[in-house]
Amino acid sequence: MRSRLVTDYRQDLAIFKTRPQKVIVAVVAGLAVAFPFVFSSDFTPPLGFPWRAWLTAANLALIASIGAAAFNLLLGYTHQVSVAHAAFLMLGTMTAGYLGSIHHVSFWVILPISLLVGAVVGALVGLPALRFRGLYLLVATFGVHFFFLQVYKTFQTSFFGFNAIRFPAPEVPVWLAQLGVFTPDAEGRVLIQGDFRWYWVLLPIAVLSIAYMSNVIRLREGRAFRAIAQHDVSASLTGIDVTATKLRAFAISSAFVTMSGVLGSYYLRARGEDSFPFEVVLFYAIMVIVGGFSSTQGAVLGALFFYFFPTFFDWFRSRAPVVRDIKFLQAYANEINLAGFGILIIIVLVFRPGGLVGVWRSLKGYWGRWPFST
Amino acid sequence: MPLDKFLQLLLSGISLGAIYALVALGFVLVFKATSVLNFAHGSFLMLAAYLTSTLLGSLGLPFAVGLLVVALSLAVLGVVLHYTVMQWMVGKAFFSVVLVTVGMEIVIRAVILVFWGPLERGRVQGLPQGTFSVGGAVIPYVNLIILAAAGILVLAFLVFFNRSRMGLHMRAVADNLEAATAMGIDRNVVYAGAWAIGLLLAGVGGVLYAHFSPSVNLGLGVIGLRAFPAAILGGIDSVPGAIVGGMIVALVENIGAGYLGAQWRDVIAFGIMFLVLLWRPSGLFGTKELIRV
Repeated sequence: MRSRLVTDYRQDLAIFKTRPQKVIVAVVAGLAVAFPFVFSSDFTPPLGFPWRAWLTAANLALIASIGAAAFNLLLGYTHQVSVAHAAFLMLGTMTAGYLGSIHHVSFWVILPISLLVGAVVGALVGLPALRFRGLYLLVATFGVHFFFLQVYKTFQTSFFGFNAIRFPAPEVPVWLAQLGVFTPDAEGRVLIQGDFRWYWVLLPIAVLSIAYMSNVIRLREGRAFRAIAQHDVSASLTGIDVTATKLRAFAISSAFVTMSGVLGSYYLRARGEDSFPFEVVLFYAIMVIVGGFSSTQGAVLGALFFYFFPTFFDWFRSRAPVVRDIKFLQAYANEINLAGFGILIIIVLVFRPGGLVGVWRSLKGYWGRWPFST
Repeated sequence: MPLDKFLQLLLSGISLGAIYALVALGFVLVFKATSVLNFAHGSFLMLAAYLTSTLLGSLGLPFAVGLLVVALSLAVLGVVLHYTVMQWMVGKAFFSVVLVTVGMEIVIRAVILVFWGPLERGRVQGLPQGTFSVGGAVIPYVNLIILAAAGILVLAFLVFFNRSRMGLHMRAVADNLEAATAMGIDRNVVYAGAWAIGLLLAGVGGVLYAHFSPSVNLGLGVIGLRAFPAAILGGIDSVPGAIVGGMIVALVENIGAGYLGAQWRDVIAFGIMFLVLLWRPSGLFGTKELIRV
C-alpha cells in the first residue's frame, strides 16, 4: 500500500508523496514538452477547429497562472482579501515600460528587478492590512486599485503621450544564442518572438515561480499563513509573528504578480490606458474559484481553463453544426462568454465549492477506495 | 470668484450625497441583515439607470410611474435572487459569498451589453430642466427634486426599519440570528425582505442618478460602488453611518474633483475613506470588533 497512500511523516513532507503522484507529474511534464511541437505544426483539423490558437492560449495561461497562484497565496491561504491585484500588474507594466522601453534595460534584468519592486511595494500596501480586517481590507485595497490606476495613467501620458506603451521583443541571452540551436536574424540577434519561442521562455519561469510559491506554502511560512487565515489572534498566541507574516504574504504575492505583469506586457507587446480595468481582478477571482480555492494546482488549472475555454467556445459557437445557425449567439458572442463565466462562478460556489481540484479529488477518492466507494 | 465655485460644488455635492446615501443605505441593509457584502450593488444601480433610460427616456413614461416600475422590478429581482441563489450561500465563508455577488455582477454586465449595447446613452430628461441661482451658484431644479426624493425615501426607510414589524425582525436577525429564529422569525423571509429593500434603494438611486449624471454608460457600475467607501466610512453595520458616510464622500469628492480635476474622483473618494479607516478602523459609527480567542 506504500505506493498509494501516505504512511509516514517523511513521506508526508515530500513534494511528490506517492507513486501515482509521481506518474502524473511525469505525464504532465511530458505533455508540457510535447505541447508546443504539436500545436505549432501545420496540421489543420476538420470543421475549422482551432489549432495554433491553443499555443497562444497556453502562453497567456502560463502568464496568468503565476498571477493566479500568487493571488491564491494571499487570498486562499492567508485569507487577506486584497483586490489590489491589477494594481500590481500595472506596477509590473510601469517597471517594464520605464526600464525596458525608455532605458533599454534587458528583459532578463527587468524580471528580478520587478520581483524586488513588487515585494517592496507589496509590503507597503500590506501595512494597512495590519490594521484592517476582512471587509475593511477589501474595500481599502479597492482604493489602492484606483490610486494605482491614476498613477498608471499619469505615467503613461507623461512618458508615452497618448500612445500605448510599446515593449521591444526581448533577446535570448548571448551565451544561449551562441549554442547554435537558433538561427539569428539579419542583425545577428535572436529575438523572442512568436508563440513557440515564448512558450519555452514562459514555461520554465512559470514552473519555477509556482514551485517557489508552493514550497513557501508547504513549509513553516505556509503553515503560519494558514494559522493566520484561521484566526490571527490565536496564531499570535502560538508564537507566530503576525505582523511580519502578513507582510511577507503580501510581499511574496505582490512580487510574483508584478513579475507576471512584466511578462504579460512583453508578451502582448503593447499596453494601453484601458488595459487594467477592475474586471481584471475579477478574472483572476474566476480563475482561483473555478480552479479550486486554497490550492495552487487549482490556480494553475483555473488559469488554463480561463484561457482554453473561450478558445473552445469561440469555435463551438461559430463552427459547430446547429449552433452556428443560432443568430443570437453570433451577435453577442463576447457577452455570452462573459455571462457564461459569471454563471459558472455562481454554480461552482453554490454546488461545487472545491472547484476543478475538488472534482478531481472526489474522482480520485472514488477510484482510490474502489470497490468500497460510495 | 473662488467662493462661488466652492458654493456651486458644495450644493451639487449635496444632491450627489443624497444619491450616495441611498445606495449606501441599501448596501448596509443587505450586509446588516444577511452578512453578504454585495459586490453587485453598483451593477444593480447601473441596471436601474439603463431601465430608466428606456422607460423614461425612450418610452416617455412620467417620472413617478417610471420610478415606481423600476424600483418595484428591482425589489422583485432581489426576492428572486435570494430564493434562487443567495439562500444556498447562507453560512458559507465570507469570501465565497462575496464572489457569488461578483458572479452576479458579471452576469448583469453581460445582460446590459446584450440588451442595451456598449454605446452610452444621454442623460434622462424626464424632470423639469430649468435652473435657479443662489448666491452666485447655479442649481438645476433636478438637483432639488433628487434631494427631496432621496430625503423622503430615507425617512420612509428609517420609519419602516424602526417602527414596523418587519423592520423589527430585521434588526432582531441582524442582532442575533439564532435567538431570532428561536422566537419564530423566518429568516428566509427576512433575508428576502432585506434583499428586496436593498435593491429597491439601489434602484431608486439608479433612477435619480440617470437624471443627474451626464450620460448613462457602463461606467456607472463603478459609480455605484461608491456605496463601498460611503458605507465603510460610516461603519459597515450602521444605518445612520451610511447616510452620513454617503454625504461626506460625495461632498469631499465633488469639491476635491472640482479643484484637482475629474480624473481624481475615485482616488479622492477612496482616499478619504482610507484616512478615516486609519483613524477609526471600524468607521465612524461602526460596532467595534471584539476579538475573542
